[in-house]
Amino acid sequence: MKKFLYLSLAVCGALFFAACGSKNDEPQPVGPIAGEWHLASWNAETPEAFTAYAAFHEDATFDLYQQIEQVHFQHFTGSYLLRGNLLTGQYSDGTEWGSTYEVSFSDDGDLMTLVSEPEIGEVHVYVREAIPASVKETPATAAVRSETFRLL
Amino acid sequence: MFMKKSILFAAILFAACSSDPLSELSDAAGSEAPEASKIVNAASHALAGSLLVCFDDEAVAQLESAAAAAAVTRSAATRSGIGSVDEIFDGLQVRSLRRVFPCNPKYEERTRAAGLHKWYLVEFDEAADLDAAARRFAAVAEVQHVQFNTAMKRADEFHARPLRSAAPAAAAQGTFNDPQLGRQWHYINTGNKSVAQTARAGADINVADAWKLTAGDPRIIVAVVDEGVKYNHPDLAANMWINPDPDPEMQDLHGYNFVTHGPITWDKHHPTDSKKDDSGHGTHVAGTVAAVNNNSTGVCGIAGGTGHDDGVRIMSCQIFSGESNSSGSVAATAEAIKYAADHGAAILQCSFGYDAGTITSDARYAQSQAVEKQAIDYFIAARNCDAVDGGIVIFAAGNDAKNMASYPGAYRDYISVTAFSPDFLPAYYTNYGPGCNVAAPGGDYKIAADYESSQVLSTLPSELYEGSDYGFMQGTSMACPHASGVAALGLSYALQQGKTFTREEFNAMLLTSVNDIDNYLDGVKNSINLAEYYKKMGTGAIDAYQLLMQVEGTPCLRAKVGSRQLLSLNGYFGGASSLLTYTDVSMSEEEMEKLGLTEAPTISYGKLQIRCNKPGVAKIRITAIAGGDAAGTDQTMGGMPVTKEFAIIARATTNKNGGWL
Repeated sequence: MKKFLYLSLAVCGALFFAACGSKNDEPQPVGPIAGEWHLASWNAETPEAFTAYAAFHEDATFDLYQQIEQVHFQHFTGSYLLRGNLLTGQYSDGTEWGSTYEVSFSDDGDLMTLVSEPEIGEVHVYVREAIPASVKETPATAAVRSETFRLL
Repeated sequence: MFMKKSILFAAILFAACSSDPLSELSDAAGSEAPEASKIVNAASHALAGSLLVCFDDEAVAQLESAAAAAAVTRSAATRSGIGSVDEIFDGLQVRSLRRVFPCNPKYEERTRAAGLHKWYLVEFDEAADLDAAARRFAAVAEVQHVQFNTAMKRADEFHARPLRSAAPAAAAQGTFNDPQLGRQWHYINTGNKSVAQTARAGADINVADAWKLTAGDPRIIVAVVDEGVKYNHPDLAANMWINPDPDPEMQDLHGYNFVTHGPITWDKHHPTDSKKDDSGHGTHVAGTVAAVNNNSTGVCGIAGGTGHDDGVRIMSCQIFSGESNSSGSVAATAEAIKYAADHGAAILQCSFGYDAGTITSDARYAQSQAVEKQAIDYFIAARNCDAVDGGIVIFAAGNDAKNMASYPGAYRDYISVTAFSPDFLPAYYTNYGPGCNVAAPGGDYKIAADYESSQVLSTLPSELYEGSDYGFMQGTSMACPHASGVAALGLSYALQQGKTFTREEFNAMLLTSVNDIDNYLDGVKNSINLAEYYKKMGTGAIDAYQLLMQVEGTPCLRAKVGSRQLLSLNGYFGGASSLLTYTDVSMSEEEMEKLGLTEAPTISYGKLQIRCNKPGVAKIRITAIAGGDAAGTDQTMGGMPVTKEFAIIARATTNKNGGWL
């Protein structure tokens, strides 16, 4: 009986660790991150001069709409990876995100906080919010920065 | 009209009068005889038989009583009611005495507040000695100032060359269907060698991209102060302003003829001097601003709409007329400018001025052309567009090929436009240097084999040009309406976007929506040394698309945390930002703290030098001079200070593609 008990614990432990191992090794993009988000604060300040929206899809891809260095929204696409509470990503042009983020959610799942690596020193807070259709109309950018103003 | 309005006007209570801006200048005249100090300008180019006289408040009251009495008896007002003045009138055989700015009860209060009601035009025997007459008026105690009624000149070069070929010219894909658009290199310059062997792609106003966002708005009225505009021209009629409340006597349906005080004309010949004939100048200028677009007819206008009755509107304020010796007079010009202000114009398009060098300081201009200056001030103060809180005033820089702008455009509050040609180089005739604010296409016949295709193509009165409705002209006169048209597009877009700006903000945006042309100023063109124009053509070549982008919003400037860096200001001060003179960089201590700055940002080699020590976003204000190295002052001609406020966002991330995450 004791032997059976030890065996059962061993099997359960094995299963438990196997499950944990599976969670660490295979990204699980589902969960509260899926959905559309709007930047609510950046480093504790409400952004006035810029804004950003992000859509994290169930298939581990994302759409990012930002209005920062240009008056029009720029649209970036790419893929993301959520391992535990660590979020990484890559743009479609192969560029890695500027940081890995530690992600957390409010109890109701409507607030998402991204904390960058310490040397980057950023804290982003996003609120779950539908991205306006006018923003979504922005065509995907070539993902190359440009200061060119002439379109000719 | 005057008599009728005088009766109304006599019933209006006097409003408080403004202080007199000329008093200090007159007082400063020092040891001059008192009467001499009251005469504000010289008689050169003055019209015979007329003087402008500014009376003091007491005299004005008497004049108004006399005018009201004359109106009752329906007799011409030739008496002032002031004994000493009437004595002079008798000697000069005065034919008429009237206010320079006729009374319009609707606007009389602000007219009086601006002091414009004190200016009178006295007309008398043309054989009379003008200088002596001015001195006699100046000797009267009730007279504050006497101004000779001088004449201005159009800023064009030669008469037009009519367009001889009706064959359509290929235009850029996706633009309007106007068949001659392909010949309008000044809008879309592809570097086509049939325009000029030296034509350079992009030497234009970059309007094709702007037209994808807006092509005008009928709520914007541009006053074309010029020769009369042919308001029934097939490519202009639909964009002519229609006065919702025309004066029955003036019949000012599309504007007014301030030269003859009659119907607008555009095809008149001078009885003795063919050089004074109408040239189609006003019609050409109007077409550049707002010839009707997408109507399968003729040419395009910068803000001429999309063919759906949505272009900006042209108000014809006629101050030149081939038939009159008083063409271009200060009296007509001042009256026209005030009319534009009172009837809804947001932009004053002025392709005329005095010879460069005849006036060389703002103080002298304000003193010597007092009545005109006060009228422009009145226009600037009028809010006729929801998108901007004052009038936008745009002048040609002049065609004297001199190292200074001509006045009035040189005045520090007005925009003065220089001219470049299809090669992106200065036109041989353009003025440059102090007082010049921005460059626009004006054409240059010398660089084209046919002497015409490198000029500006626009509308013309067919009566003057062998039946042709279109033709080529060159001059800063043609550059000026390019700037006005771009400004009109900007205001249209602002209205459509629900944006509101101060006049200073809008002028700043207009003057910093530019591409660099100094980069091309090397070597010799048609025997002119291009280096002489370096940094003297204004802020750069005006760009319609950039202006619309500025109307949409102001982007952040991205900085990197942890290193000292030089950041380009092109996004805020235009394509030649590194060549501008910056006079102020300011950031509050609180804002500096947001970026961890330990030393204030500065300008170095035309770029912003900054070292951010922590991530954050903070506001900064920077002031530059639009045109020249120093701002204009009373005594020194110079540029217009333009201030921009924007946010700097500092991050430690190093994404090459600029992505937020």
